[in-house]
Amino acid sequence: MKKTILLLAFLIIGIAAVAKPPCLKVETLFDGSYNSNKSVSLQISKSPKEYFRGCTVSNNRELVKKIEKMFKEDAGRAEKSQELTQNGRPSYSSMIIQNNGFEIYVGLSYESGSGCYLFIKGSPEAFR
Amino acid sequence: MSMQQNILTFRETEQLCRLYLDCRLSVAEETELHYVLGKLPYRSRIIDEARESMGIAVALGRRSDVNVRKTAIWRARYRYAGVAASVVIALAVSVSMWFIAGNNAVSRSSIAQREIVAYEAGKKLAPEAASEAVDKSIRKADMLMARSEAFDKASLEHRNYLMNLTDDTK
Repeated sequence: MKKTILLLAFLIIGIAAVAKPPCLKVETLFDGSYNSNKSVSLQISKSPKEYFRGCTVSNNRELVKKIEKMFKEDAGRAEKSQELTQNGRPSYSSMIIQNNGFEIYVGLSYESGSGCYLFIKGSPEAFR
Repeated sequence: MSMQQNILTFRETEQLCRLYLDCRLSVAEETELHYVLGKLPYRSRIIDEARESMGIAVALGRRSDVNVRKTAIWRARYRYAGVAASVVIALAVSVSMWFIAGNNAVSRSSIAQREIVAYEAGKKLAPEAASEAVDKSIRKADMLMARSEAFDKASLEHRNYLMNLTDDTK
């Protein structure tokens, strides 16, 4: 009897533990540390239907490199990734990461003048 | 009485039972037979019939087996009931948690359908401006996603074209 209850308790805990946030490196851009950065614009939206994060960087080569590094680190977990180039230089990179059975789309667009635009988009269930 | 128990053979017991069923035993003999049938393990149609009419379901030796079996059955039943109760409790907890989570989500979404925050050049934007900035950003993201998808489609078509070309040359 006790064994059965213990087993069920472990089963429930196990199921609850399966659902976890994706913990993407690029998400650290939205943890508040860049809110007051003058070269950064952040757009955060969360609704029952969609989870969205947008980040525009302008005139900050170092930050662009940092974002690029974070993106590449996350790309290791991607189900699918794509890189578009223009004149031999990357213009847009994207990847799809699966979490909790839902897709997370991450895109990084390189903009002129040492800038970039990064976005994270997906179902809210993917981020729980 | 114990003497009688040792002396009585199967045939004698059966004979006594036959007499009992024919109502030819005295009250004292019936009492003795009742006691004997409760103690002896003999079984036959007549003995069992006598036992049944006396209200003795089975001989004592068998009764202990039955008791053991009944205890085992009840133990198994308790175990299954325990498992069933645990499953029901677990399901009830899961369902109630799911409902609570659902209600919380509904109440949250009814208070604010969409949570929007935006910062521009280190400053937090007012709700209206933030909403506008977020919508613009989403449109830009959608456009980039569409472009990427179109590129994927085009490269797939190109690959198929090349494959067909190779097949034709064969």
